[in-house]
Amino acid sequence: MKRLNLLLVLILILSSVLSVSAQDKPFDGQTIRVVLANHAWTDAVAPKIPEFEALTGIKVEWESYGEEQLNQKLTTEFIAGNAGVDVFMTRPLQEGANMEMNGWYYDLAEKTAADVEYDFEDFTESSRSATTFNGTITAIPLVTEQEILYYRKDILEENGIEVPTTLDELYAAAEKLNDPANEFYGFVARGQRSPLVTQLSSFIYSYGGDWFDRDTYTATLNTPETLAGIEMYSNLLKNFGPPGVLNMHWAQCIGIFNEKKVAFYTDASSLYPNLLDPTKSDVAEVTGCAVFPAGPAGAVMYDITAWGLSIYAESQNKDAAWEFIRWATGKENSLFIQGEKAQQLARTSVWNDPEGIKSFPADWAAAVAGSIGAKSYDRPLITAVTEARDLIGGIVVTAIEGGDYLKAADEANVKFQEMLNNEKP
Amino acid sequence: MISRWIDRHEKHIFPLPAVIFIILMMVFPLGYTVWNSLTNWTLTSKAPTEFIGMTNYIELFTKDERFIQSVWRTFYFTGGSLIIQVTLGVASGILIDAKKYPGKRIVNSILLLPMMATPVAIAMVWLLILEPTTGVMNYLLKQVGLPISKWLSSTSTVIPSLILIDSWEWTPLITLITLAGLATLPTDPYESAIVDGANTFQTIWHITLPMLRPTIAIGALLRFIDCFKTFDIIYSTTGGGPGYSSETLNIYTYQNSFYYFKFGYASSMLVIFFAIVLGTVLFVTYTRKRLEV
Amino acid sequence: MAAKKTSMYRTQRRIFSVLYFVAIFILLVIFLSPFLWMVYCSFKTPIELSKLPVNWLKGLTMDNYQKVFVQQNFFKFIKNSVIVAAGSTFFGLLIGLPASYSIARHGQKKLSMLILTSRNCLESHFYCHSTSCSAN
Repeated sequence: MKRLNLLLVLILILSSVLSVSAQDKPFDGQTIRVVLANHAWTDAVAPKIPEFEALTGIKVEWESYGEEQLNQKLTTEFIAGNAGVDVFMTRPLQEGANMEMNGWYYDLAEKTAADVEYDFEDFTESSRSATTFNGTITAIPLVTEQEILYYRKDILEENGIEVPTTLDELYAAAEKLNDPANEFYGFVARGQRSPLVTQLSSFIYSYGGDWFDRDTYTATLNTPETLAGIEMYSNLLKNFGPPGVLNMHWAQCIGIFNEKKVAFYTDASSLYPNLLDPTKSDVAEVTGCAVFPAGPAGAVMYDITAWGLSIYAESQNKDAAWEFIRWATGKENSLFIQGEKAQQLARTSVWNDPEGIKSFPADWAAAVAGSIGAKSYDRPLITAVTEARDLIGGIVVTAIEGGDYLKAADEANVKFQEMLNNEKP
Repeated sequence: MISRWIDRHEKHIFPLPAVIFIILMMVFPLGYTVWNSLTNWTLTSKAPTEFIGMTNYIELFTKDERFIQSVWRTFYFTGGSLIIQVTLGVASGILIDAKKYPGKRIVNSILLLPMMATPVAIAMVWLLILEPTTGVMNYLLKQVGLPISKWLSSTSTVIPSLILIDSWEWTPLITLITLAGLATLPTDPYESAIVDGANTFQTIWHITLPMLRPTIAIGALLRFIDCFKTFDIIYSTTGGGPGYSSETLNIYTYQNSFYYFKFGYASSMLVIFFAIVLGTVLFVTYTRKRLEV
Repeated sequence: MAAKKTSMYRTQRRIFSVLYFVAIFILLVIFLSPFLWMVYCSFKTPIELSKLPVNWLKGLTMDNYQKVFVQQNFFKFIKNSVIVAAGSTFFGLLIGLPASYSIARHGQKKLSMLILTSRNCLESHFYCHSTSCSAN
């Protein structure tokens, strides 16, 4: 009798322990495939993934690629239709429209509405609208960025120059500091055909121009305002830029800035770890950040949601995938990633928390604070955005090389209008 | 019984796997590509895919300036590479073969290394070396007092720079082919040349080179096809830039396929690409046959 | 007279010899230096990498190798490459050897031209469209 009782008690204890752990880990044993981009966010999250695996029992197989390759790889797999992808990083402004049109995003409306603890409303209004297409919540906003001005504090001090607040002041300052004979250049920015378009955008907006009229779908690449922005950008690079600028993406721009060869650099605020982190940069101590200089139409820079995290519509493990997303973008992890790893996330509560902004350098935080809410897009918002970027970038490259950019702008405008006509709703 | 039937039909059965492979893996995709080129299949378009006949081809030749320019650039790149690689390759092949010395095998292996390295790695290294401001090449040129260049960052110097990189990588192939050819040359003409009192240069010009001509022709044909199709070094260094100045046909097709997702349009480009390469191969093969006879 | 000519001849031969080895040396430098540069750069931190003039002993680190093999698991990529190379060589031989035997033994010139031409022309096609083939 006693032995039987003991046995029963043991079985009871064992089963309760087992059932508790089964409740703790409802997805135990499942595997999800997570496809990420080579980004500082990935660098911040990747080391913590084993924690997630231990917590939930879900095995995470993750891979990361450069942004272009990521899009190509995902598109190719999605077209084939049997992609084993569960979670992936996506750029709402670049491939969002296309992927949504093809139905590859799983609508997260249900998951976010049901999950009170997750607090989807905590994400800023602009970031939530950036990832919502036609009422479908396509992605959870990951990182945001604005265009700001990086400059060499020491060089400006030495030459008695004030930090430029207008684009004309920037031009004058770059001219004064430009010294190619001693291999010092006044200004650097992206010169590669497609990547430059997003950084060109703030210049165009600050002169009152835009890519196209959103109401009439009329291309505006060769209006006087847009051309003024293009002229300012290309003149800065043509006259005061380093010789290799036409092959420069942000990595090369940062490289030459770190070489102490440049005075001014305009690019995304999210790149600041590469410039202000002493372990990554030689000029960390002497780099300052300022709000993007104003043009005649004001200081109208972009303020965008650059990346989002989505679930594939045909994923076989949507619930496990949502577990990963709610962990990776939840309040706790967001506080860590923004606070410790200094990424610009989109949760209001984390921005309001002193722990969440402690790693940001003071003048960078001021520059970002001054850039909120200007323009929510840094590229034409159409489905064939890659082709459009090539068209627009071609104008700038022609201008930088000293060619007939007015003709190039007219020709590009015609082609761009054709593309817009195909996409008119 | 079966083995006798196989013996009798050997010459039909043995090549069968290869022929089936070619039909499945090569003829079928080609057919599919031609079919696609007659449609307007575009991923980023809401309209359904329709059969449009020759519209893509007409558009390519009449409206698409970027396409025409990419074809010219491809010929420019291929022509420049071929001239340099064949000249330098044959010259270095003859040079290497001229003397025997201890350590020759090691030297030969080192000289063949560029051919065996991964093209993307080569592209990355040359990108670093040729950077106008932070690269070693301009720095060394300045030290010696030679003029510097913008290399891959200027629309006028980018294709010559790419020719430089491609030649660095593939001249050893021509060298290898030349060495192999030199090994098969008969020694009689050389002996009579020495008797006749010819010096080294005359021997090379009048005896070695003419005898090597078929070997050189094969090497040149192989390199023509490969240069025409070159993708890896161009994509990894400039991606077609600055602007469009290094965009060859292959790169432009890749842009249309994997960036713009205009699959129908890209298929028509590929058909033309294939036609050019096939045309050249057939042309060279049949003229060679006629020359030999 | 004869002795003078021979010694002149010998000096000329020696000069040519030296020139020959100088030429070989130049070739070696041209073809080898990018590799040596690549190996050297692999041991440098990103900051020090693009500094000129080159400070040969500064910024040397094993971090890059650690990153590639530990953080990015390069062994997996190597394994994949070996599998692809070995597998395709094996299948290439399996299909090609019988065909080449037959071509050599029976002089099937047309067949050999067909195989060579198709290999040369269709390579890029297949690469570019194998992905869209699996779609649709």
